[in-house]
Amino acid sequence: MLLDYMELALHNIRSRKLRSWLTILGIVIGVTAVVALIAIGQGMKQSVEKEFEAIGFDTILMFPGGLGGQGAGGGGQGGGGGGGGFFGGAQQPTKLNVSILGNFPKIIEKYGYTRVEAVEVSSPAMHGVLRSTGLSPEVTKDFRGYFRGFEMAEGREFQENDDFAVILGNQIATDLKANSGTEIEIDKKKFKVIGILTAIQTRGGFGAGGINNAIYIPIKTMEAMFTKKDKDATEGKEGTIVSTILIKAAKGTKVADVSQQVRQIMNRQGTPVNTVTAEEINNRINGVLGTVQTTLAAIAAISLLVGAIGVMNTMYTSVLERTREIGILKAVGAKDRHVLGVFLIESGLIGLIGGTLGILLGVAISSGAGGFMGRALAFGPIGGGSFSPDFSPVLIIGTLLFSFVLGAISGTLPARMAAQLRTVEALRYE
Amino acid sequence: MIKLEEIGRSYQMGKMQVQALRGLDLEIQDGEFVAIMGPSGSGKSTLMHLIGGLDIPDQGKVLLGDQDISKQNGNQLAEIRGKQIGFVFQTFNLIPTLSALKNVELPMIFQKVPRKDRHQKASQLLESVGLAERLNHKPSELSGGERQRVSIARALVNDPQILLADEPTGNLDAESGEQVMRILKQLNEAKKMTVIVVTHNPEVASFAHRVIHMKYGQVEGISNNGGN
Ligand SMILES: Nc1ncnc2c1ncn2[C@@H]1O[C@H](COP(=O)(O)OP(=O)(O)O)[C@@H](O)[C@H]1O
Ligand SMILES: [Mg+2]
Repeated sequence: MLLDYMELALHNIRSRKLRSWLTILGIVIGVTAVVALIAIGQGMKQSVEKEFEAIGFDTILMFPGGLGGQGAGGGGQGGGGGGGGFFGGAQQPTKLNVSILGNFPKIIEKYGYTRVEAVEVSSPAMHGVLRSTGLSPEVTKDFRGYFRGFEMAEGREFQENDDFAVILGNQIATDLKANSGTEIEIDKKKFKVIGILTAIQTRGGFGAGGINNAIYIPIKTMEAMFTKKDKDATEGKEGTIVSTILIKAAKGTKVADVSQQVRQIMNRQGTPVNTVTAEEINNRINGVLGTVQTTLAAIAAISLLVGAIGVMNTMYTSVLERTREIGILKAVGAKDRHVLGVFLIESGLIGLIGGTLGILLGVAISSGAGGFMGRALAFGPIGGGSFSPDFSPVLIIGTLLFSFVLGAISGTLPARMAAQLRTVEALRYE
Repeated sequence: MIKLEEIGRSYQMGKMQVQALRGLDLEIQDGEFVAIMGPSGSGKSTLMHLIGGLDIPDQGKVLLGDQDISKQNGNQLAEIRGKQIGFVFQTFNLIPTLSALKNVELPMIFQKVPRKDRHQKASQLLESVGLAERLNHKPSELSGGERQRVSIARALVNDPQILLADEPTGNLDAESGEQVMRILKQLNEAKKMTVIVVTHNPEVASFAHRVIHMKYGQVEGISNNGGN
């Protein structure tokens, strides 16, 4: 029975090609929007989560001062996502009593810090003022422990006695025409390139300009280079000059609590800081994504509504045009519910065809957008940036079902009108 | 037996009431071949609609055998149309988007006849009316006579006891008309089907046992053709 109705419906849909396609197009647009939205949204959530898994949800980032007052305790909008990166930031390196953190082993498993300074870099191929990141011994010793996801393209990681040694991001290495073993000059001092990182397809990341432009040197080298300036700037204060402190919360603690506690500790030292946890950033990004998704979903809903009205309109027209056919169906024994069924299936099928095409288009668009979005949305901590939309079977099947039901519902009133036509009247209709 | 008692049926045309049938009485025996003649507007089609359960009267009874179909609801009438009645119309009333075969299969869909049986029965009937070569043609690809034969095949698929043909030859040339009438005659004789034909054409009427003459919504007279 159902199959026969489908066959009848298909005959009808095909016999009014242009109008059917236009109606279907209305549904396609709405469904495409919905599918692309959900797939991209899900994909983004997953990729955000993956990124934070990489630096670890137990990591707390601490910045001296405040992040321009953009929400103390929360770490500021996006925590420097995109451009600057968490570890670079625009923050002036500041003297903090970092070592006090060592007094709280119950809440802090380990910590390290970085310092970002503008330096003059030159090689035979290139000369310029760039930002260089000094890494504390904890970080150089445990490079991968703090920066998961980093791979050496060539050379090696830092060793304990390295001095005037530099690890370069892939892009800056290319620009400088440097290989591991090459010498470059930083602020007129000769540095040996000991390693080059694998290229990461992303923006943002450590230091300014992203991980691919990173210039990492041991902190003691950096401190030695800036001794004089440091003396002038921070006369009389105790501590170490840092840009970012990386803190790993101790096992069994709540990261959010530890984050608050370390903030208090530093405040008591008279050096206000801000902290950001992966969780906070994750929540914030999800919040932003949520808002964006809600807005777009509303737009998608409206376009679906318009599509549904299109189906209704087409079905009304169809009922009018086929009044005589309806009379014929009834004359040869069709009951009201049969006629209702024929028209409901037809409008449902229009919805289903629209839904199927919408899914295909939505998948295509969100896959295409995936690469672009991945780059646009990649953000700081590890410079992440792998993003692919997520097409769950639930999404696909749900959308198919939904579009059929949407079509059928849109066709309900016209179909009822068809079913209730009086046979003789319908047969006389010209 | 078909029995109509005191049938009244009127239509509202704006403010005017048109009395299409006024106190009509009629009896038709099972297996009879009857022609109905009369001027346009005399109520012939209205009468056919009432006999076939396409419509119900304002007054009176329509008895098919011993059931009064004038009091039945839409679904019950549909059931009766689907099982007991076959219609043939002047304008064929085929579904333009469907092939001849699908058109003939259509009534069987609503009787839940399995697909395979449907196909077989429809092709066999189309063959029997000389359309074996035209199964997959759309109505628009068929001549008038061929279309009417498709619609006869469609009327027969559910093995009705009563075949109602309202001016079946009205849109056909003489030769096609004759062919259609011979088929109807043959169905009446071989299958003992009750056949009622509305016509303006005396030659067509000559196929019938009895001719019923209508005027102003009533039976004006009945002539016997001597059962030829
Ligand atoms: N559905 C209808 N609405 C209004 N008037 C109708 C309708 N059907 C038939 N009539 C009127 O009823 C009268 C009888 O019509 P009909 O039975 O079709 O006559 P016939 O078939 O003998 O030409 C005519 O005057 C016709 O105009
Ligand atoms: Mg008539």
